[in-house]
Amino acid sequence: MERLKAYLKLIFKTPMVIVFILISIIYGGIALGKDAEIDDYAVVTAIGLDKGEEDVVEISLLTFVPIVTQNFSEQYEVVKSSGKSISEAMDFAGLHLGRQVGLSHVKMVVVNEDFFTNDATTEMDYLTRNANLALSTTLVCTDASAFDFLSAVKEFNTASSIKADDLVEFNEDYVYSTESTFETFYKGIYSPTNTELVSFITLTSEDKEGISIQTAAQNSAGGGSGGGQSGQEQEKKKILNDGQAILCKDGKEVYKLDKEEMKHLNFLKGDFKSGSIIIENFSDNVFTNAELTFEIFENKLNTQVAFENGIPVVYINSKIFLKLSEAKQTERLINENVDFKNISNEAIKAIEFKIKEYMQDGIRIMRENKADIINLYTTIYNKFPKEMSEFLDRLEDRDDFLNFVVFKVAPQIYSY
Amino acid sequence: MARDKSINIWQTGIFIFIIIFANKVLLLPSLLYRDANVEGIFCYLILFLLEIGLIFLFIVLKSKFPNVSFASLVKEKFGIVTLKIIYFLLIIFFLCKLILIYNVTYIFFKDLIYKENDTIIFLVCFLPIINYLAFVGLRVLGRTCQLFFPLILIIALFCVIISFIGISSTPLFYQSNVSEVLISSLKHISSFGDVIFLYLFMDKIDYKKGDGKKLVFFALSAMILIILMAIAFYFSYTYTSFMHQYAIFEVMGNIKDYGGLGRIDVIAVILIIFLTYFQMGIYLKCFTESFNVLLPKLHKQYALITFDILFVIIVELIIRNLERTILYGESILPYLSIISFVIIPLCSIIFLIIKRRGEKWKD
Repeated sequence: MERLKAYLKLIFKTPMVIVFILISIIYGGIALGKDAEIDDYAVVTAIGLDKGEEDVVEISLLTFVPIVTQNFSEQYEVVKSSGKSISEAMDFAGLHLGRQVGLSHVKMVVVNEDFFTNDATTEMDYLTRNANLALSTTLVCTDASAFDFLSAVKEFNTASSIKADDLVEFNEDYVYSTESTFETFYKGIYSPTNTELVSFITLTSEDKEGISIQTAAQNSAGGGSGGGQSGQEQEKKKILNDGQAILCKDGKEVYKLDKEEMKHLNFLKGDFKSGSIIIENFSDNVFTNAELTFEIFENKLNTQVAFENGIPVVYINSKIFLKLSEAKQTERLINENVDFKNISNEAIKAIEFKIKEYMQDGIRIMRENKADIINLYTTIYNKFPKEMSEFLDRLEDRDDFLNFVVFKVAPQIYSY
Repeated sequence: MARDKSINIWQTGIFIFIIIFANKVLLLPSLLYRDANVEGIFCYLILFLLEIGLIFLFIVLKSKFPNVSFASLVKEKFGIVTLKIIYFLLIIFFLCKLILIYNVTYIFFKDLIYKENDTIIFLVCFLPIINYLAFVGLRVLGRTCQLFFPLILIIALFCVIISFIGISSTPLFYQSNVSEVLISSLKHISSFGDVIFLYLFMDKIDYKKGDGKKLVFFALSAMILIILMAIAFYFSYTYTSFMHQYAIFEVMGNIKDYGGLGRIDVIAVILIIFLTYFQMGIYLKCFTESFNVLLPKLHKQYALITFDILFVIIVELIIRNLERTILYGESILPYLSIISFVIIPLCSIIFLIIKRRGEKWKD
């Protein structure tokens, strides 16, 4: 007892302990008595942006609805509202929801293609200024209404473990697609050539490619700005991410790339991990008129620049590690003593030729659209600032500098 | 020298490390990029050179006047009026720096975590602790810093090393000229010159011959870590570096997808909490020291009460958001840096010249 008394005496002689106890009592009590955060905030996980009539902005919010369940499923609803600006539309959405719109959990922003007809950076200014919305948020463009898109996404989030942002989670890994977040978008926009790619995802009919989970996306024709669900007309839709992307310059869409074109560009960009290369009508000692599919395991890109006679020369050396993953031909394939995975010299040459073609097509796309997608400007300028400035000064259109750059591509193939 | 009021050279070095590292890892890299692009790194180098200069000057001064306080040197050579003016300016300097540090940290936490909480809660969390750190003896503060220093160092090293994983591209160089770099350096000079706290505790530091190397070692370590972190930040975010305000937190957030590390940016938050508490504690200690020189008859608790009242009024009335904090830090505080980069060094140089001429000093 005496010891305890002495101990308590010691504690209360220390001012910090008293401060700690006071803070615990005051703020602990306040925190315990507070309402749950979901009573004040609507937890939004994805935002959709559409353009309405007369410059009205329509927003769709994929909102988490807290419901007690026994099967761990999460309930989501799409809430729609409109206003003269995104900010105003958000306020109205808050009124519809009876809560403040909480954007801290937003993982994805889906923007209708119409936004990219003008400078999308000004159109989406609210989202950049909002401190709650991380720049790592996925940015996706779609040709469908963003409301329809999120209505389809709602089915995933509600009925499966696939979430909206999962759809483009591995985009940066595949050779067919591109990483697309606000961060990559603004990095491109603020780069010297103001060029960036944004993932393009479509809604397709049920019998086509894509993913849906018992989907019954509601037609936006019936969706008013009053919020909540609307319209009874049902149209089954699938979400299709097949690697398409839009090429933006100064925030405006200048070109739409399909997955093949994306693939060709990615061989120049080099920021992918996996994918396939198909060689058709291939013949050597082992195969006759075969269709060979090679799986990429590793990709290392090395870009070197030089100036020759005042002209920039870009050497793109690509080391690609792959293995034969599939072979088709009319005759029987596995012969005696044939190592199934080895790549013959003939096959390597054929692959190198194919990749060269891809790279040349990628260069063509960049030149035609005056779009420095691989950030060559920075690479050249950092190494030869004076020469690059002089080279650009000689051009009538500085944006068109890629047409005057000499490219020398050299893919090297290694068997995995 | 009373031993309970003195600190050894390691504790002094730890103070230097904390003070130098603390307020340069949040807003500063982003602001320097905004003004001087990637060449903002040169602003760091220029201002660190000045800071190292202050440390060298202190080492020389300390070796020439081992047991004399800075206040007594000023009093003897310039008189009581100059002493009061200089220490009044020091009070203003430390008060303003404390307000800046508090606001930057407050806005950081409010923006990222405690969106609903107002400044009162933060004041309750910060003021008692920094008051306590300033109230207790210098040795207690030194030992507390010493106790937590391994943790601070490990986290700081972890943050800096791991931030290099997030580098994926190269920013554009050669975008700013010399004048832009120099103007930017002047604009942000108030974030530097923190080591003048050494002059205030001059007579309370156990200093032996050769200890100067240890002080320079701690200072250089902190500076190298800051420069490495700024490089990692600029190479991670390149053209959008100006959009990412909280550098050390952002570089950690940038690598969340690597190696299955998960969200490790919270580690940076822990570091910021420790650094802010200790930096504010050291600064408030400097404030009370200056206050006691200005009004020697008053007990130091009056210094703390004065500080608390002024601090709460200024924080509540003047600075509430990021924009105003940046404006305050870039347009008002640089003028106060005259104290750290001109007045104190000038006084020190005069003392050294007088000493060299062989004039006698009262001890």
